[in-house]
Amino acid sequence: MSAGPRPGTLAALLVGLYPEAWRERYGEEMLALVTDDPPGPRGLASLARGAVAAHLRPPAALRGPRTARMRLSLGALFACWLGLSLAGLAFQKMIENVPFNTPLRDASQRHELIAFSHGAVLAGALLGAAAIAVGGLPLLWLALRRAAAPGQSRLRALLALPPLALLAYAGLALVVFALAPERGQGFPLDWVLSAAVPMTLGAVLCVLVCAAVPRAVLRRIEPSARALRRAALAGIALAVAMWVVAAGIGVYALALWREAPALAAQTTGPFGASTGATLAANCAAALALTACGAIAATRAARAALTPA
Amino acid sequence: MPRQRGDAGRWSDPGVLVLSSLAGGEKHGYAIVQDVQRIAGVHLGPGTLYGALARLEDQGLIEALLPEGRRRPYRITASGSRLLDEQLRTISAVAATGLSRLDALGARP
Repeated sequence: MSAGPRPGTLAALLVGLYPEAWRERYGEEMLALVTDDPPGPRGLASLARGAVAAHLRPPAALRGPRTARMRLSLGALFACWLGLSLAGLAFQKMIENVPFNTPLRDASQRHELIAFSHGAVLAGALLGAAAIAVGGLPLLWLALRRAAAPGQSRLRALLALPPLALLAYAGLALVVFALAPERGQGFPLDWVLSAAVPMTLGAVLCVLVCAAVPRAVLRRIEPSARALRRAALAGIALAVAMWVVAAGIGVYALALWREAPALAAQTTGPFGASTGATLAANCAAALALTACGAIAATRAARAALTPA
Repeated sequence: MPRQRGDAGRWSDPGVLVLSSLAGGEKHGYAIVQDVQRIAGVHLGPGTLYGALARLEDQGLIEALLPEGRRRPYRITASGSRLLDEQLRTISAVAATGLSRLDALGARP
């Protein structure tokens, strides 16, 4: 059978951003449409807007059961939080690394906005951790109790994946540092930049595993609507924390560029990119993840507050 | 000819355009896009079109027919026809009033 003409990659990717239930119902015909009528920039923007609307206001027939909606949205929110944590970690490592840390500390002392936004990132991270603890720990406890029951080997394997991924990442870090050149006053900058590539890729893989597991676990353990409602309400606090972190990174990048342009122009980013450009990319990733997290939190809260 | 920006308003509400297109017979997505372009000069983006189709189907104003390969035709329902009739009568009444007032002003080209 001939596969026929195929849609553009970008258009197909954008169709892939629609919710799963939507894709099952309309995905094939949307792909047929973008094959027949390849979209230009405005058509691609239409697909992106449609995907956001489909997540925020899905048609009633495609909403699925309330608990399933909460499960899916909470899984997505947690994945976004992990991604943002990675971006925050990259931000933290970047601004504390030699030879950047000393002039940066000076800049923070001289410029209140830089110091304040750095504090905002830390405050947002703490608020997010508290929200995860309130909403997520009861679900983790439930999953661990279920996994202890006989015949739950698949659930046990799922729960083992994140610690294994973290261990693997720790092993990678040990290998990378074992291969480090002789250390005098700190590691050479060239080595730091080349070590950043495997460490970053490993971190992304680790985060992907840690992000995918909760969704699969939630589907398997089917928590009560009450537990999901508590998690969904904690998700609102988590979304607020994400905005605080993203705004902190954004303000930091802007303030650094405005208040300490010499620091922003330094080439301490990966592959010799400027500090300002790397912070801007970090900021864009943080904003995108935060926006997706806000959508997921809104959906979870809406499902939680809808009468059964 | 494509419309200029800023002249859309509710007259080019995608739902009304899709219903108007389906009032001429059942069509799949691409056929609706082409028909709307022809009758209203509006090019519906894929996200806009399927957002409208999903909403109209959800409200029972159109119904999906059996797929033809990867394409699925849609048909307007009786309630969709009634709603479209009401909408177009309102639009028509507003258009007639607006035109007569422009005539009175002598402002029409």
